[in-house]
Amino acid sequence: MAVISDVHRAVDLDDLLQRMAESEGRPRVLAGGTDLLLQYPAAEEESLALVDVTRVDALKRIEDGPDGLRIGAAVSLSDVMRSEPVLSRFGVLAEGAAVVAGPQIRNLATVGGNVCNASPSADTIPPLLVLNARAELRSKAGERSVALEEFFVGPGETVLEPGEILASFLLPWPQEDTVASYTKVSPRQAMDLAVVGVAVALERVDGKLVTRIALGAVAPTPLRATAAEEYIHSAGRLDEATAAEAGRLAEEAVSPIDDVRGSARYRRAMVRRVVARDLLRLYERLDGEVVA
Amino acid sequence: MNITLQVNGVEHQVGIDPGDLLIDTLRENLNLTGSKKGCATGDCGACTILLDDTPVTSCLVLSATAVGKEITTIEGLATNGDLHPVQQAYVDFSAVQCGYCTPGIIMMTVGLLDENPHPSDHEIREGLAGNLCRCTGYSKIMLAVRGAEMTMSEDS
Ligand code: FES
Ligand code: FES
Repeated sequence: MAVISDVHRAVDLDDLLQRMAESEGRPRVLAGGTDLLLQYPAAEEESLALVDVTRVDALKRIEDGPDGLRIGAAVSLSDVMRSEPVLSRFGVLAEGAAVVAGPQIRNLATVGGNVCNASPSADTIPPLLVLNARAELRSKAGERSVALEEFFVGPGETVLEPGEILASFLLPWPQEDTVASYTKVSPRQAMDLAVVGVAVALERVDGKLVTRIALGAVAPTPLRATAAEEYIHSAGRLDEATAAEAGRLAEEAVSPIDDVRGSARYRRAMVRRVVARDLLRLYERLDGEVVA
Repeated sequence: MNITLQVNGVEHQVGIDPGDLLIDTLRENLNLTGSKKGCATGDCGACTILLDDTPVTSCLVLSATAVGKEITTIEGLATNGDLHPVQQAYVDFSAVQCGYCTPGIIMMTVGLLDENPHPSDHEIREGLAGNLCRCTGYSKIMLAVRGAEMTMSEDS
């Protein structure tokens, strides 16, 4: 059982990156702590040095720029939910943040922590994926930006190198008329993990339907249902039949497990139904048309 | 390590281990046993306190990271022996049975009404979704929140 040997409260980004670069003891980032403080006793290491990032102002900002909205990794889920630019342009991310656990946890937990914990069922990840989010990584050696889709390696595993941190997300400005939604399927209405999480974004580009579909809790990492996305694009229309086919293709992309929250069979069935349903609902919002 | 915590307006010097949880420091070192440790996993809300006026589960906060923040526990709500309007409402509406969940739910209610003085029923339910009560069935808790809302808006 691991113990915490040290907690360093980083005062700014330089201090944080410096600490993270110190190889001894492989420091771990402590953000909201709502996952880490539950998990660390089971860590392999005998003792862990933590670096608290919640006082680093550079990681706590939400800033708009020409290339998109930049959300600091240490912004709490509550602040994400209430952020005006998030609500007005990236509402699906607010939807995801709002269904994580309960209010006390959302006040502590951060969006970067939810992503770095890399749980397949994290509720902010499918929304970020359909928003084409990029993860901006920093280390003492420099910085790099990766598409969020490439950030996850497996459950709890990311591409972060030792000494490297997730500093922010860049969400490219969507088209004015992009519509998106997140559906969390879970037995309880609060304080529960997703059995299936489905985020869908829909827009028209040059008159053609473009959709992005991201799925949580149905594979070792959250994933995009690209075959379903391409099918809608080439079909060029959304109706009961094409939505159902997209649902079927999304189901083919998943590899869920059986666990106490739900069986693999149930998860597959929910992916198929929720993807089809949400595509049609979004299409009504996009066009103001009611699909028969 | 030695730290200074600001709890209910009073500074306390405490010796802690880096991994100590705030709920334990409050209860074991400072003898503030009003906050309860029901689960220690963030699920029950019995350990809810305010950190800079924001409700959080103190079982998921390291004491070391609470330094420099204003901590408010259930013990800090009454002024000169007068119960806080939220506490009084829980008494008046019999929203307390065994009482184990009560300090946490009251702290959450204080935080909720502070942020949203006139919540809808849905907002109250969402606001208290992280607090479990095994006794009351929540109906009286809903009434107590409404009662507190009324006294607090009369007072202000
Ligand atoms: S003891 Fe903290 S939430 Fe249960
Ligand atoms: S009064 Fe007993 S748990 Fe709520």
